[in-house]
Amino acid sequence: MLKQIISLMFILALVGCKTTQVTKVEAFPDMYSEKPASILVVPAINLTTAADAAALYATTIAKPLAESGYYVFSVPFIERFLQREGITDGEQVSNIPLSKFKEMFDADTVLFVTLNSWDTNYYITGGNVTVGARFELKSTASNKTLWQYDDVVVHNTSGNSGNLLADIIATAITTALVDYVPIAHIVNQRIVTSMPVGKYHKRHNTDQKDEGVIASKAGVTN
Amino acid sequence: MKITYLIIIALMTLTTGCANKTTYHWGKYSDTLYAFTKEPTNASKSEHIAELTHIIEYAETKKKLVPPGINFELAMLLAEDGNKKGAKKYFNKEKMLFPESEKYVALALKEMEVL
Repeated sequence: MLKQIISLMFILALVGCKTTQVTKVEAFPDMYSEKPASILVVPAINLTTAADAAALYATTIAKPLAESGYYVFSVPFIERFLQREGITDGEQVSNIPLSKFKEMFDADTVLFVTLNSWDTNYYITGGNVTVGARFELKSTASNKTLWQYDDVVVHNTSGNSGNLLADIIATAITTALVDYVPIAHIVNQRIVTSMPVGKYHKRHNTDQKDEGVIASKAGVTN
Repeated sequence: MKITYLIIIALMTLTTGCANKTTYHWGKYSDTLYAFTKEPTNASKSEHIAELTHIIEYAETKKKLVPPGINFELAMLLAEDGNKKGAKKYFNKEKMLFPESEKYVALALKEMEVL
């Protein structure tokens, strides 16, 4: 009897931990009906304490989107254009009607990125560097959110030689040296993988059944 | 123990092998853009311009694809330096490669004349 209770508890625990996965078309049906060709990335909304996080992050985003088959407007050009209009932060962009981006640049979608973490953490025997971001792709034609995803990458910088003093020093050195940008590349890679591919990708319009979209990260509720 | 190492090495070779298969030729674009963004100096700017030029030339001779925005970004930097002729050439290349860019290339060309 006790055995059965324990195994039942195990099963419950496992079910609780299991992440629900859905296919791309289940998570993002509007991507397939609207079939956007281009993405305009606006300055990131920076919720972290690192002042330069948004600017540095901006240098990493064009590549994964282009490799996913989309036309990506030059990120520095859009940044400068908006700056001249007095817009330096993603937060301000949300006040602009999306149709304006269609009108001015002929952009099909606008990508909003919120940086949630860009941190270095030290503790006595270890350390880590965390980069986390949330993506939201909005249609300039329908104003709908076509695709969204969020993810966090924690890069462990702890030494593990077994010698406590050596580990503390090694952790301090590697944590200080770790650059956020390579970690941002990993975050982008993980996030963009969930996006249905665009017209310049050879699998365009054939990836509906691709699995591995984690429902909770994609904002799918049911 | 040895087998584990071998498997790790095999996996690493496999993943790096896969990672190189990109649709476009990017060269060191991310690196020079990052350096130029982090410390915008004349040196980091010319390095980024040189890399953009190199990506375009390399892709054209090796029959690889130039990523979206590369021709545009080079044009923008040349325009900033007062090289309107060079800028026009690369703005038009962007438009030829990617018809989606037509409207904003027109806008950039107009801006170049005004600013």
